[in-house]
Amino acid sequence: MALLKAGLCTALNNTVLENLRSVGIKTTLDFITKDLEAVAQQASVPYKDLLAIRRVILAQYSGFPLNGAELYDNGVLTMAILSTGCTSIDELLDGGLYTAEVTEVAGSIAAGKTQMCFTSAASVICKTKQNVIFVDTCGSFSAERISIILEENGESEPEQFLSQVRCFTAFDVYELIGALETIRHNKQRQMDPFFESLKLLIVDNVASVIYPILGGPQSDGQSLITIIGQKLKILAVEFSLAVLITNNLVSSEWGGTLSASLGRVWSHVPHTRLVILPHGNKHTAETPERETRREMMIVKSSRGPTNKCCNFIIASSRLSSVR
Amino acid sequence: MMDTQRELCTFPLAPNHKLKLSAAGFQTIQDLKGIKPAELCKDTGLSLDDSEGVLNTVNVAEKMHWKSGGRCGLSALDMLHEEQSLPGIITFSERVDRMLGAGVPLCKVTELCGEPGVGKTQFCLQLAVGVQIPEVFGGLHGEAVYIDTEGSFITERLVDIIAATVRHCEHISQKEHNEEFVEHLKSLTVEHLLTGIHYHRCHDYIQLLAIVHLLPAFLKNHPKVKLVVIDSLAAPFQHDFEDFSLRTRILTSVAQNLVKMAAEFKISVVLTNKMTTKLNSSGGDSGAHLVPALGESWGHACTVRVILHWEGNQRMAWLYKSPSQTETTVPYQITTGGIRDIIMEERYQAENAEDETPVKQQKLS
Repeated sequence: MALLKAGLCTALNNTVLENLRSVGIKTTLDFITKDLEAVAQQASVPYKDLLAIRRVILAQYSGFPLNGAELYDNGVLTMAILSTGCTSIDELLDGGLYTAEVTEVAGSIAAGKTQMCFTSAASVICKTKQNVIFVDTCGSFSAERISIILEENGESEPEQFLSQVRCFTAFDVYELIGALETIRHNKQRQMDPFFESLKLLIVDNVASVIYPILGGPQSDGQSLITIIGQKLKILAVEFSLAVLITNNLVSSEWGGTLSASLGRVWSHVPHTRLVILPHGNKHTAETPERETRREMMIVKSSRGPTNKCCNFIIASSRLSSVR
Repeated sequence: MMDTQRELCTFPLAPNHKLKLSAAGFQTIQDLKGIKPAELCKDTGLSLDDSEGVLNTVNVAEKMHWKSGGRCGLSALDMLHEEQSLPGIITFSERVDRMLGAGVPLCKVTELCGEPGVGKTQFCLQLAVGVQIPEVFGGLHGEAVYIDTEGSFITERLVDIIAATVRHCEHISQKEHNEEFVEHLKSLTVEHLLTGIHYHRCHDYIQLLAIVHLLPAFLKNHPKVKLVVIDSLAAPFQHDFEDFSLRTRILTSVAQNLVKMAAEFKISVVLTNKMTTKLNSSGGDSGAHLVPALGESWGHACTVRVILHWEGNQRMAWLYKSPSQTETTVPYQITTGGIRDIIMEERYQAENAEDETPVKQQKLS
């Protein structure tokens, strides 16, 4: 809730504002939670004026009900399913990445998380001719790799597509929030044609900016995690973007089972969570060459059944499906 | 500026400042629009200095995104051109270079993991010399920052490698008969190459953190630096830590700082890491195996990871993780002159007989 400011409506002038401040009403939230009759007496502001101010504030800040049929029509109109560029993963996801959803891919080191991001980006820019934003938090973005994937997809001139991808770098949590705010701002302003046809937002990797602030004596970290989650969801739902994020797969504190990191609060953020299962790839000297074959499992979905699996391989060209 | 609705708690402000701001009703950046430090000081009870500080932080953070490219991101096309124009630092082993793309990449953090004696430090020394090769000979003509945490930096060894590098360049210039080469050779002396390495010795993790935080200023003053080596990153973090979550926090923030530096200054950052034994909790076949130290969360931090290991009598470099290159394993050897390819042709060996004798045989297994 914002600070009360003069000029919000005619009744709210500087003298009224001063009077309200003197009784401890500073924000709109303070204002609407107080009993107006009491305020009128204490701050010596006419009751009628206070009512008028309240009406304006409520009208400005409240949400409006939308009926289901409208919501559905709207959803059908704006929804898109974007192919990830790999048939078996598309099947697992019931078509691909849905707009208005946050999809998370969790995997251990070198599991193929970034490769999945690149393959999806390449597929969106050349098949659906939409734009992609890549927020890079760990220096993993490689335009050359995307260009190679495009070439393998049969595009003879990959360079013409590459201007449809933009990359933001964000190496700490504040920069990440700044980048998300920037994207929202540009979407709202509708000045830059690039953001008009933006359909996919990739954040690779969320965990690397959150680890440095997680835990410890200050509780700041948890609140920042919640804010990042909120902002990703707002971008996805309000602007009908497909959001693809990556997370790390770590073993729980006592060893044993592997699960996505960042804890329980974060696990509510993604609508769909995919896990790239470790393929028994111990990095020992005896088995230096790991398999390029990986298995992916869907562990959370707001739409379909979970715990389904699919196989894919990381070819030198891109991800491709295996039966 | 300041036309977004960003919450004040998402700016890097001190917790007590955040509290005071929110108590006074300041919640989003909109609330700070057009406000003077004196007014903020009166409204929130922050001191004048602190008020100025808060407004400054918020302004700077917002401006960052107005900076070139920040507001609307960089197009991948521009980045492709940039990536293609950036050379790598050569290791003198062609196969290792090819495995990594074109040598150790700039703008990225590369981690070398391996058992003792497999050649991590040799790689670091080789790169610290390789980065200084003049552009006419296909190098970067840069300088190196060498952060030594273990005391394994041996100047005599470095001189060996430098001497071999100088010989290599002389060889090229003799073949080519080019005036420019001869000109550059004059300045290419052992002393000159030694001065191009800025050596820092550090004994514990606090010193290491201090160096990492001071590095950006150092890099600004020494724009020629193209390589930062930390040999090894594992050593200061392997003991003295009772709180493992603290260790993870420090390590990951060091990693993010280095990733940022690499991208900002277009330098290459090379770290070394040790191997440690991991017990199979499932009680699997082997019971235990070797994995890179510093834990799983750390493993995600570096952009490129190379694992050095023995295969019989053979040193192997295994590209384990890379966003752009395929996973491969290639053999290499360490000679008096540094890291080299293994070349089977006898002719070559005869030619370089005095130069290329392996210095270290495989230890007893």
